[in-house]
Amino acid sequence: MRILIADDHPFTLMGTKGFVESLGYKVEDICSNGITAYNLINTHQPNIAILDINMPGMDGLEVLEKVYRQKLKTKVILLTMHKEMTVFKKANQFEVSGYILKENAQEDLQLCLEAVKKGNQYISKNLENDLLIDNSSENDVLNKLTFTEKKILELIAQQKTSKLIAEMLFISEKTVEGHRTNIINKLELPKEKNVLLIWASKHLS
Amino acid sequence: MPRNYVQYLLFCFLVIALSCQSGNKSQSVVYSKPPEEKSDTVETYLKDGKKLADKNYVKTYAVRIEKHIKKGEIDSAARILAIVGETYYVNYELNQEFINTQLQFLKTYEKQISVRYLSNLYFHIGSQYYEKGSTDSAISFLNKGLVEPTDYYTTFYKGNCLYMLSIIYMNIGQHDKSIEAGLKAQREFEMVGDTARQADALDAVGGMLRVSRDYDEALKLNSKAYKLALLSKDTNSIIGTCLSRLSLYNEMKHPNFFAFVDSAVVFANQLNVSKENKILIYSYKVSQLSQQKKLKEAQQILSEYKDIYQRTTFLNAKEHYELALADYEAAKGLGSPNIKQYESLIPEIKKNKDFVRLCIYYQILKDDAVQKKNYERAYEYQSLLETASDSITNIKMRTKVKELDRKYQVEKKEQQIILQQQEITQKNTYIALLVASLSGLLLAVFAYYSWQRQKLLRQEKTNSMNFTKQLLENTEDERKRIASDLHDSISHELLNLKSIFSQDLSVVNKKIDTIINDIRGISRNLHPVMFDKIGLVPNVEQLVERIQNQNNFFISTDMLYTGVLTSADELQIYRIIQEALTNIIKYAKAHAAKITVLEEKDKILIEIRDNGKGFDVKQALNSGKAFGLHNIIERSRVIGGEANISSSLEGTIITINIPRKL
Repeated sequence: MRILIADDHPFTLMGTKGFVESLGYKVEDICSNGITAYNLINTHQPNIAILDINMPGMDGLEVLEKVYRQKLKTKVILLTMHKEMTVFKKANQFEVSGYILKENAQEDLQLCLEAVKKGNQYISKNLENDLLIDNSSENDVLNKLTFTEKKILELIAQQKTSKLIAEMLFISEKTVEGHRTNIINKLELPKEKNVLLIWASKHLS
Repeated sequence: MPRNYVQYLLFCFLVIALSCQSGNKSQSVVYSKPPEEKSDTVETYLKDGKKLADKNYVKTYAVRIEKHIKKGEIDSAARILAIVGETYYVNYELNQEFINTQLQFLKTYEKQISVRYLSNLYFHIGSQYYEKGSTDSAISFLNKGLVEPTDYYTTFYKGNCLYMLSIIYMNIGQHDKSIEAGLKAQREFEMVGDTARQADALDAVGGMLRVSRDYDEALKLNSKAYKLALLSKDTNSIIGTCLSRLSLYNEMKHPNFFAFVDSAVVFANQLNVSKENKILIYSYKVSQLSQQKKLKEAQQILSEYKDIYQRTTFLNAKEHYELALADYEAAKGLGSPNIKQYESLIPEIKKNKDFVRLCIYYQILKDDAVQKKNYERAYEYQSLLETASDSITNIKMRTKVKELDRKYQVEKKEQQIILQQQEITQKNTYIALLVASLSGLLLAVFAYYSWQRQKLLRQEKTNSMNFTKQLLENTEDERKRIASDLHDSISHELLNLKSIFSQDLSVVNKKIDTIINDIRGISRNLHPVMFDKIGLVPNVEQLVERIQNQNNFFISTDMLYTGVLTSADELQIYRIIQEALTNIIKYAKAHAAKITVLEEKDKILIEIRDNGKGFDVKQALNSGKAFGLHNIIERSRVIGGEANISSSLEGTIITINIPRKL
């Protein structure tokens, strides 16, 4: 198992190196910028590359993209401060093997390395939490629904037709109908006429 | 729209200018004949020459004139007099009562009559006096009629007065005056485009030359007059020129005389010729027949016209008849039975200085004396005839006639040149006027445009000043916010951390996590994380999701965009969408919003619409506030696009078009 670590911050770099080695892995190369990292990946083809995103020259995402495009065997783990889903989504487009946050690195890195070694993808749990909305105080059943579904249900409760709802929300009537079916499924309601309207009037108004 | 308006104005100017110029097309005619004025039944009656014999004719016009005078309508009264005068004139009738009426009217109202009727009245009085044989009075009145012409009527009657004067001067032997008047008359008639009267005037000058025995010139002028008369198709003019030709041929002993008499007779029978003119023509026929010794036929004609001769007041007709009668009687070898009458008339004619008539009478008397073999008498009459004839003409006079003719030709040309020059100056004036008004118009349009532009620029300047001011203020606010964020959360948390450092590690750990989250929040508020790496669409989606959750506001998206713009431009679009959404949430009270980002062939289209309550865009933009809207417009401009904001009660639509750089 050969590992490459790249981070522009020397303390983090050395810390990560020490931590990875303490887990019993062999760190083959370390470097402090994206370009060197990419060149080393190209020449040495390590099994795993642990990359920071924010680096001078070429950032972690770019290195990842190149590895992905050139179909190199090296698996990339991004170790970053960026908790935003947007960043992760981008990395996921290039089939990132692991996405872990520096703040939780101690717990995540070991699990991540193990998962990646087995060929799986590991994503930090804390990352996913970021987008969850804290509204657990409300009706628990409603939490199963997406924002759009909740909005539509709200309008159904106001006795609005699908056509009207579609107009009000700038979406197509078909989409509204689709959402209705989904809501019925998610709420596990019987397939009856006006069942949603009756349910919505009862629970929302 | 303003361009169309300008075009319309230009068109109007052109039309006006063209219509001004098309007014004087025919060159010599200055006043063309106005349409015939309508006349009522009484006036129609007065115009009818056949009614002159009517007993009530005089009474009819007298009553009518009195009626007009009573009402103070002097011009209407004058108009009646003009109509009656014309009727008398055309029918060669003489009426002392009518002369008196006219004189009375003129005496009382001369200063109130408009010029148009004045020249007309003077002409008719003059012509009546002439028919009466009172030459001096005729000349005096006709001269009064020579007013300064101002329109068709004044010009026409001035010409008539001149024409009449020409004839009178000819008869009293004042040749230079006759020619002067005749040529002047022709010019006046030319100005009103009356070819018939032109023919008459030329014919009169021709007659003058005939009397001066300048037969070649006379024949030339007569031919010219004859052509004009035929052109005018005016019976009187045709017959008039014919008669001149006849007397000319007769005097010249022209070989064509007999032939022309015959054709004139044919003419007289074909055309609707008045009885007086018929007498004239047939008089020549009688002379012809007498010379040919066809006495029976001559006598037949004479008896046929005897009745008319006795009734007519037209002196010329009487003379011609008498002359023909004399010819006939001479041919028959009889002494004239009327000789005594001729002798008795001579003193009156002498008094009137009518030398032409005098010559004719002496001729008759001489012929009669020869007939009666009274040679002593005949010689006496011959010498008298020669003196009378000399009074009409002498060599000096003849040269003077030619001189005058030439002088008038030159004058005529000069006048034409002046007329042309006037026309040119008039045209130039029109052009200058047109150019001036056009340039004035252009100037006005230009001034209007620049005023509008100035206004617009001023408004834009104020708006941009406001924008800059607010931009600076906002920057300051942003700094203040960051400072307070850093101070309030980070510093406090760090202080907190410092104080609890000795405590449990897990507490410290949690505290550090809070600090990291705080910093992340601050930095995310400042700038979307790794915007350039992630691209426009995911960032907008992230933004939409966050706003939906934070504000419980539904936003749908329709984004088909592959990333043709630079990252900097994309960031501007992101900010525009952010700004628009913030506005919608703050003010619109909408159910939902929709964001569209589309890549089209030649442009990128961004649209943010909502179904809120809308607002007055113009007022908001010029209010000095609305930083958000100006922000959207300015950012659109920065990326080479154009923002269009439209709003109604149904909601607001912000559209930004960014042309694609090829």
